[in-house]
Amino acid sequence: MKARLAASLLMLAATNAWAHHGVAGVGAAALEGPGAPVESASSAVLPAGKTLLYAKLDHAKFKTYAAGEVESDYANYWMLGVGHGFTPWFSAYAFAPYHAKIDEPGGLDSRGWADVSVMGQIGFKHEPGQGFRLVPANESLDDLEDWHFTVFGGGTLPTGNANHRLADGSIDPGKAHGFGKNSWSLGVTATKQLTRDLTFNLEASMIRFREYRYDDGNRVRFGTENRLNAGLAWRLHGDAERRFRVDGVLEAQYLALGRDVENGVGAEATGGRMLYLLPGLRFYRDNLSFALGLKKPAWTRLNESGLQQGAEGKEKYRLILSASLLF
Amino acid sequence: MRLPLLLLLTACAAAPAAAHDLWLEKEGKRWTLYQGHRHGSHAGAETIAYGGSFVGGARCLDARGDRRPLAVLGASPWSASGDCAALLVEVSSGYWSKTPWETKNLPKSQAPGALKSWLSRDGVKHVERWSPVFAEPLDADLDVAPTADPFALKTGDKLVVRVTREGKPLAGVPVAYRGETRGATDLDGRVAIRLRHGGLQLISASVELPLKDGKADVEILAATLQFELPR
Repeated sequence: MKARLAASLLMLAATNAWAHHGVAGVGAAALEGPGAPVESASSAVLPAGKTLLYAKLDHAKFKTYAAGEVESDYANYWMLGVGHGFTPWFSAYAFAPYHAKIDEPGGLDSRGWADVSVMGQIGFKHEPGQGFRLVPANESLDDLEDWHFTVFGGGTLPTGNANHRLADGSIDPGKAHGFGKNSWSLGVTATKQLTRDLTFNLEASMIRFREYRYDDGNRVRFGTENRLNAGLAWRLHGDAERRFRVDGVLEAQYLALGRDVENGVGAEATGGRMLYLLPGLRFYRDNLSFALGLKKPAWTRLNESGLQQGAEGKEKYRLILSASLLF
Repeated sequence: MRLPLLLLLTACAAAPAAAHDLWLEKEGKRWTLYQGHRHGSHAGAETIAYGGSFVGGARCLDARGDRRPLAVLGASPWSASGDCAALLVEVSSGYWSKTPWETKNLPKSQAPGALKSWLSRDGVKHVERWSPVFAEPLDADLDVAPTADPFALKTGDKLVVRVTREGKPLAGVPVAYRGETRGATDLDGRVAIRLRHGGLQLISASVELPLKDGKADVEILAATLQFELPR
């Protein structure tokens, strides 16, 4: 179950980070254009020649069950990122995650830089009467009301220390700083500005992992991750003169986690399905965007749920904070 | 587009010439030019009176783009009669100067303490019937032209317009629909505008140009494309 946590949270952060939180909202279009989710990927691509700096904290606080045992307490998933718009329809991102996985007192904590991830994103749109086309360089606010889509893909590079040893000398894949081998992701998004104030967003994505043999001889392949996220962003306040806007956001995130495979055998108490609800706010000021949200599991069907702790679906809450700057 | 939009919103706020809408109304064959806020998104009087020298010229065009006679019937409000496929009216409210206390309809030489001054010139183009000729610039100054037959569109459709000056495309020009800025032109001078309402359509653009006549700092040129769709 710890392995599950490491794998999925690492990629969760990476996926959502590269998914350009706030990109849609950065810049002037955000003042009048479509809104963006707090965490899910949206269909905005970076303007050609523009660069995005990004930072995110995902603080996961876990439920604990056994009073006499040391369990996972919380984890902080930091993410620093940079993105660049190479054309009006293609953007590329690189992200460097830093993780802190903290147990209850007496446990084995883990802190360190994890695998770097790289992502590419292609943006296109559907124009009534004209069909699909790549996102053009110039779009009016009226153009931005059309359906917009992206296809994205990428993965992690094994830059983190997968064989990080804990204080007792052991290797816990769930607390390692990397997967040991590349992982791959692929996804699509769809976004539609329904009214001047309301924007709908959809993301479907998946992550696939490769088996890695650790220094202690154990082999682990983390289970697949499939996501379907839907979100609504509602403009609560807009002040064009001050270049300031606030959106209320509600996201529903469905996550299906496959069972981890350890030494060729499906691992007990890993994987499952869950639905998160994430209410939040997104702020825009000039070319800055700041988002915060509180994410909680609303429905779970976890494998051997009673044995899982410190994994997705077992959070008390997740606090999501992100900031981005476009220049 | 996302960043230029910021600029255009700022530019729009800084363009006094665009403060009022101009539009032509037709009764029979009589055209009347109005100024005000009847059709725009900005608050203000429905119509605003203007002086007799406001209109500097008018041209009536047939479907080939040739000029036709236009009988001027009045000056304030300006009205004229003619069977026009398109009608061009040029107006100017003259020089304006902004002082710390007020904005005066005077050149800066007559407004002590002027902080900013400008010459305001506007053009209104009403397309009554479609002709491919009207996809080309009709105005030598600033021009907003539909790139396709606007009468083939319905409410909710988008119209691509092209903004030119002296026949050449202008990039980065803010374009407004009924007074609300919706986008900026691309390198080819084009931008897509959604026709949100039936009835009178007003699509306008404005640019600020340096002026060296000693009477004002800049010249603000504005142009409005006008046509009607069924309500």
